[in-house]
Amino acid sequence: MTVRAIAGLLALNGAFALLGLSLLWSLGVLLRWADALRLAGVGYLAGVASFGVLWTQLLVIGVPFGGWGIVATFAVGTAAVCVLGLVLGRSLPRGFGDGRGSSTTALLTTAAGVALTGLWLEALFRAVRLQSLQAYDGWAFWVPKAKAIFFFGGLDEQVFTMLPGPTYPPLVPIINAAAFHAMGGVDTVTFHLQYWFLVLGAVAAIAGLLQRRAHPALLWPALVLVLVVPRFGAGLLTPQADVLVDVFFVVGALLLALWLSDGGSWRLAAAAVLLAGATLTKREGLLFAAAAIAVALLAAALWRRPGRRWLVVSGLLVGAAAVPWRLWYRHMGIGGEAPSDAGLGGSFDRLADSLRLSFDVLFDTGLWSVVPLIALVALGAALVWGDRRLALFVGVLLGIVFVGGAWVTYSFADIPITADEAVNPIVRYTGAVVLLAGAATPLLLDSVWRGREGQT
Amino acid sequence: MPRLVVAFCVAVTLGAVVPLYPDVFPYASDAARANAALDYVDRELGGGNSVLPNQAIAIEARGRIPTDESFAVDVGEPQEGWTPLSTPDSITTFMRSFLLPRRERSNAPWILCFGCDRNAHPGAEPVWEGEEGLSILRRGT
Amino acid sequence: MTRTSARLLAAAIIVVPLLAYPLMAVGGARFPSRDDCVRLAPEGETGALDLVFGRRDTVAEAERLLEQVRGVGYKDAELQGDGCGRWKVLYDGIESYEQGASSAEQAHGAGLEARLELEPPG
Repeated sequence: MTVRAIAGLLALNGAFALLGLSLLWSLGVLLRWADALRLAGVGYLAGVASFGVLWTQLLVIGVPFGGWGIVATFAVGTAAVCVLGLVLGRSLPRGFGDGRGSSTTALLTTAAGVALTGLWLEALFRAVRLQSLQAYDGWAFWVPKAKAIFFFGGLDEQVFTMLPGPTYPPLVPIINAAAFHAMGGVDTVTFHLQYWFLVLGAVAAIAGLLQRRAHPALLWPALVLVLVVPRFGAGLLTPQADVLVDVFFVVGALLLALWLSDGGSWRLAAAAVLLAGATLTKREGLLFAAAAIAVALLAAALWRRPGRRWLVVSGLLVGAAAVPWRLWYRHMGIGGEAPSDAGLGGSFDRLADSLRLSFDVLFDTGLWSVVPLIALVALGAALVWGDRRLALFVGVLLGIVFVGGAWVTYSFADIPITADEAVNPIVRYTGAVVLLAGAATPLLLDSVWRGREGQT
Repeated sequence: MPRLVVAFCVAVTLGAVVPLYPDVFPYASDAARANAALDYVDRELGGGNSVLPNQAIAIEARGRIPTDESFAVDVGEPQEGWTPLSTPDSITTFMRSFLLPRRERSNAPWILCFGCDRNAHPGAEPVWEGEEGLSILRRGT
Repeated sequence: MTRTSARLLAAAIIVVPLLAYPLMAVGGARFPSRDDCVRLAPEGETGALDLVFGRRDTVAEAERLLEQVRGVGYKDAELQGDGCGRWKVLYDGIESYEQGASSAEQAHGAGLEARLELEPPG
């Protein structure tokens, strides 16, 4: 019954949030209850990522996946991070606010932004509540893999090697299998709401991270625009892995950007968890995570940011998380994720065409409205008048990810130079670029508004 | 100047949001209405309604094939009433997903026959016959 | 504007539309289930009726119920899909609500579950 299924999903996603918030508490960042509210989205995503990363490793070594295993993961995992927090001397959050009042304008602008975003989410909930499984990739391999984990308790060799996309990592099928357990069965209608929860968490995470770093008048218009651009919108709830890998990457990148600016080792730890999740969500997640950490390392070295060795450790942990799955499918005789010649065999014409296609897709207002254009203006303005370091970090990272998309088109010779999503993934891939651009814009604009003197 | 640029960016962003934002509400209403109008089986099959010549075979297969047994899919020449999406690959892919935990195997006792040549399955008897050339065969009954 | 009134206004800006939208959404919030295919006959119904002995998820389970029902005396009982992915065992020789109610009572006496349902259209 749908009500029971929705209640189960609510419990599952509440457990993700509790696990992640416990992790943040143990990292010492939840000093007040207002911090818990503000970082609830980050905590939720960290819970999803850590659950998915942990169970990927467990499934690779053959630990069976089942209802009690899920419950034990949450119970033991939450308890373990709480014990860690106690050992580290963390105390429960005290009080609600920190006395830093915001102006009436900021308060009311935030309220308007929350209302608009909330209404949008409610509308999508209504649209997707009874959605049948229509997306081809959803019923061709993402959902069957989840069903295999649900029914057979693991990475079933037949299902995971014979279906399309055998090298696609299993984090999303693991989350979906957990959703099936929570719902009491394979309900391929109600499970679309799991994606609604993921989008809710993503919105809350970005808003929460930027709430103290960008004026609400800069944050909320940009955030709402990202949600309503034609290519996102209801497409955010398609039961595939594209949105989640983008979300893990972008929130991880924002955490790194904020760490480069203000420090806070908890941001490094949270970014590591999210980027590890990205590497196990889709193949391009490895590229995204590597780019984010590499650019952060370069930036930290250039600006002599303290704590660089912890960034190196984070990068190594992210890489380590990605290895077992890749060993598993190679052991099953499945080929790698990159083109055999690392994409160096194409012609210059194909390279130019690939770049041109990526450029055309990125600046297609029919897909992304004005998000990339505004981000470009914000980048330029921040380089001239605002936080140059932030602008450089964001700009270089965007550039690498953008070129990465062109490289995918260029290096796989059988992919035609077209924006047709049925044969070329460039539109889906560009979603990551646009989401990062849109999420970083408020930070960049805020630095321009405050000017050089206002930089910390 | 810098604050002018910021104000410009915010204004352009708001200008883009205003026409796009309201679209979500009629979309949500239309989608909710369309989803609610589907019957239970339509909603369960989802994309299968586009690739299967008739949804009955999926429901019958799920109801007849025990969960610990396997099935094969044999798709013959398209029959009258089939859509262009009813290809061997799409039908097999859909049934492989829909019927999990039942496994697809080439020498399985159950055969989902989509306009197939029954002579290719000696000893298999029909346990269900539908329209448009669809049937479920069983070997060794 | 005082701090308190600003907070109250902010809360109203958030809460009012978020509560109003679900209430205003046309169509309400139905939660469909397989029970949508169960159409119990209201008392005194004059339309076509079936005496339904139960629904099962698989044909094999429904055939076992059918055998039990026929064994009790409903020789013309049959098996049909119910339109929601299940199979129901039914007897469609009901000519009036009163006859159906009496049959249901007899079926209960024989240890069977039985309910009068409206015959599906078509």
